[in-house]
Amino acid sequence: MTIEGTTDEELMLKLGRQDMSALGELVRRHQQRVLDLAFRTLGKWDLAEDITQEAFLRVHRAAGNYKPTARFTTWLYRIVVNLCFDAQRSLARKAAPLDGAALDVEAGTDYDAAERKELVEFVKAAVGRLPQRQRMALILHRYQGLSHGEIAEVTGWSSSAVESLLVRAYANLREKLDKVKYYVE
Amino acid sequence: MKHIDGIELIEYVAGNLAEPEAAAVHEHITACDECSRRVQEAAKLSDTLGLWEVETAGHNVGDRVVALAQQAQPESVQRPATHARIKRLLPQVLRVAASIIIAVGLGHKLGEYSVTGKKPPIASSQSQPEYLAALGLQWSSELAWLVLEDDPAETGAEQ
Repeated sequence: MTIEGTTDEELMLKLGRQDMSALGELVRRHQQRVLDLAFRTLGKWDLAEDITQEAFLRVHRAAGNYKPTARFTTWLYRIVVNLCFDAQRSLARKAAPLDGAALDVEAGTDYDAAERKELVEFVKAAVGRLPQRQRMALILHRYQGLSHGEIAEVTGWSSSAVESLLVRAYANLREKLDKVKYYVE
Repeated sequence: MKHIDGIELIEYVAGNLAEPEAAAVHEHITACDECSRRVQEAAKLSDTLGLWEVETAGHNVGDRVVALAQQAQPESVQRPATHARIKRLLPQVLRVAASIIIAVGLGHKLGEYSVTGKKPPIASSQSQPEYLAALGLQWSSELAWLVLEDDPAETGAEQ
């Protein structure tokens, strides 16, 4: 069987036997999603890369004790989410990760490329201004495609807590976006 | 009529509901204008959020991760092996050490008897102990007094 046809869980068992090609394959398969999650959460590429690197090094260190009781991606997400929260705590005293000036969007007449770009900036700013747990729940749901049950599994929050966070996060975003003409039209 | 609750609506728009639940929501929104409007709004919001795309292709940490993991590997691999080897060899090392100690102890004891048996009687006229001669010291030298533990007067008295 080629390494491409091997499941994540089998790769972890190989990595536990110090087969470094298994680590390379796991990184190749999952780094884009990890980078995406870390960047959307923290808004900085250098931090996103550091977190991605650290997440896979933790995967390597833990491979010897890995038991395939849960899906590998659930376990990986758990590592990344915790690293993101740690990084957010470190950044807590610094400036907001996304520029708040983007919230002052002027109404336009046509929905062209420039307006679309401005709307994207608005979305980034609005997501960045959500409370920490709402933001993480929303990013995992909307951008990583996890269901609320999977988010509960990854974060360790109760299912009802995740439901509440998602409902409030989407409501907050809709309220903010309702102020933008491009969105309303 | 019971409207769709918040999380059900969100999961319906995201496509995360299983077929029976999705079919039930679909059936409801075709009959309920309010919920139909809510679904349209939620879908629009989701589409707008989707405008934020992140290009991760230019950020590759793979080589760095593998290199760092390989640097850490000898420590994690060799340490347990070294510990295991030490653990395996320890009883043998202890056995050899014990044998040496016993052999030296026995040899010392036996040698004591042997030397005592062969040792010529010290003449009453001999005033210089053998170990001083072996050190190249003269009985009368002042240095010899420093080396000797016993008072020569007492040694002489014993003789």
